[in-house]
Amino acid sequence: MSYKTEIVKKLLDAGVICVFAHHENYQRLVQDDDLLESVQNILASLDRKLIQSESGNAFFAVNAELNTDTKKEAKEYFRYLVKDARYYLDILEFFAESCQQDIYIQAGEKIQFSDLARSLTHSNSLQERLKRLLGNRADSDVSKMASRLLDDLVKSELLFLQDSQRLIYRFTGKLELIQQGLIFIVEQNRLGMEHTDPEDNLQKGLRV
Amino acid sequence: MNSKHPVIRLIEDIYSSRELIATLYDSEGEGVLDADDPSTKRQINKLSNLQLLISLHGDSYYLESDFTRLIDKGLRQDTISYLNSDVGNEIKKINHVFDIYHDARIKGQISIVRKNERELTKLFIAITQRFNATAEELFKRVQANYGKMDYGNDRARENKFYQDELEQLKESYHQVDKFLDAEVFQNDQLMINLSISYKGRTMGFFDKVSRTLTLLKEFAYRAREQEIRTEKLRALLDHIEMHPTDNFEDTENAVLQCPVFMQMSDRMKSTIKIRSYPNIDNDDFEEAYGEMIEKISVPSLSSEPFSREPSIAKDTDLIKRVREQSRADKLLITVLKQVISSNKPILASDALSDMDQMSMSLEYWLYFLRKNYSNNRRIGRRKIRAILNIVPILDIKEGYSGNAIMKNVVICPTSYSHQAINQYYHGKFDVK
Repeated sequence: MSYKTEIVKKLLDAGVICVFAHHENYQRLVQDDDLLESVQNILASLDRKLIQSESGNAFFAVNAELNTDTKKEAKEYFRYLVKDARYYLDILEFFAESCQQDIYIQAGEKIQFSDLARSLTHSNSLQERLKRLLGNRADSDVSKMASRLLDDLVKSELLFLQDSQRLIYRFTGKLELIQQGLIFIVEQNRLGMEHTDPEDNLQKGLRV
Repeated sequence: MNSKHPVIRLIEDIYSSRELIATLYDSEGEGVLDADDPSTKRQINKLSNLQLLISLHGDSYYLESDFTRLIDKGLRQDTISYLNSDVGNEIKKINHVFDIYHDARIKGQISIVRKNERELTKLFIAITQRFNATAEELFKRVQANYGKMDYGNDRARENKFYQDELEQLKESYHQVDKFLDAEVFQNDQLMINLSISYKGRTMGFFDKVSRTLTLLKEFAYRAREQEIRTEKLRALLDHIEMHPTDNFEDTENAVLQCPVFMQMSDRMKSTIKIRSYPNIDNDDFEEAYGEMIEKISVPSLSSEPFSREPSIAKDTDLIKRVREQSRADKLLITVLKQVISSNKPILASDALSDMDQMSMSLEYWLYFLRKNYSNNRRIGRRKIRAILNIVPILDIKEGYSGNAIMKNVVICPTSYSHQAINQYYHGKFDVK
């Protein structure tokens, strides 16, 4: 299978070609203009177009035309994301806590299994979070639960195993797209923006 | 037992991986290692366990930044930490040499003046090179850090370190600048000339510093952006917790503004719909289309006018089987009549050839006979078992395991015993 075929297949399969998980194919798209054009042509002939994520670290294919069917599909995808939003946000909270950082984890960040297991061993709240994430597949063995979660994320292509010897996992560009979709919901609904209302600021300014 | 001090053990481990460390240090950033080589692999594992080696992707690795800095410091290279910690000494040296030079000039000691003139020139060249090299080094490292594209705690800490180093570097430069502005130097032509050439030669330094600063700011901006994203996502989490049944139906109509939703969802993979017709004649697309068309099962449209080939009836396997069954049925009835009328045994193979039914295979005919016999088939309301016997002739090979191949069948009236069959065929077959 040629690189072009491999890339097109991945894109048509709702896949994301990112610099982290598909380093070689990403470089090919970025550096080989002929290949990029060829991929774009194939996608165009199938009513698709190639899009780069906000950070530029990932490529994905979208419906090129807006018609009744594509609109319906977009809405369907939106409903799926809304349904899964809680799960994704819990995942982000879980990894932020396990890495002892305030900001959410993002595409490209690495997770070492041993670090995760260590954090879990020392934190009951983290264990509780993980149990909630796994639902009825929760276990009393911390490392079993950690590998279950990591396996789930690998299956859903949010994570990939970068180093099988030392069990180092890395988040893929798909995470960025999910975050982008969730942020879209936040912005459209002006969630958490109560404090930054321009009128409020104006009033405060006048008072001063 | 003689147990080693852990520090000695650590140094020994590092020493045993010295070649790999040197290779990676020289590669300034990421280096590709041959992990298939057992010796290299051993060294990689050792350094990885010591957390001094970081894996990037595939066979690419880099040395842990604190470890690299330690080597920099040890080698006393023109690196950030060395220059930043030593600039005070450089100033002191310049001051000291200038004092000797100045004194010698007043006293008219030409040889001392010349010697210290050379010394001052050397010191100025050295400090110029150090500033330029450090700025260059800092820029390279910041660029490499910026290029790593993730914003975890490690990256943020590294960025903060470079920010501090840059500030210190700028501070050192201004310290030298201020030092050279001293009145005592302004009255000396040599120092004026050296200061001018120093400032001229460090013009590139400012360029590098400003580019480094841009990258640092850009990184900080990206990190800040992620902070904002996190705040927004947490706001969504709070909202979902407060309103678990909110499906954001009002937002549904706006989804087309966000390209992410125009992508196929994972869950919709199975329903991938392609509404256009791929141009199969295009060689460029041929390879890619092959598998795609197979997957999406879209009929291709040909530009040729539609024409239909005349249909030709072909025997399918099912039709062949039905026909064979019907022929076997006819043959069975014929054989039945023959056996009743002649009251003699007949071999199934002979019956098949006599009846000119060669289009039927012997295997099928034997199978048919055995099946009808064992299923107690009736012909004309009479069980065939009551009319004839079907005795198999087995092909028993040496080392008989219990499974034997049926090579023929004797169809005979029920009055024939196995012994009678054997007699009839003069012992040709040993029917048991």
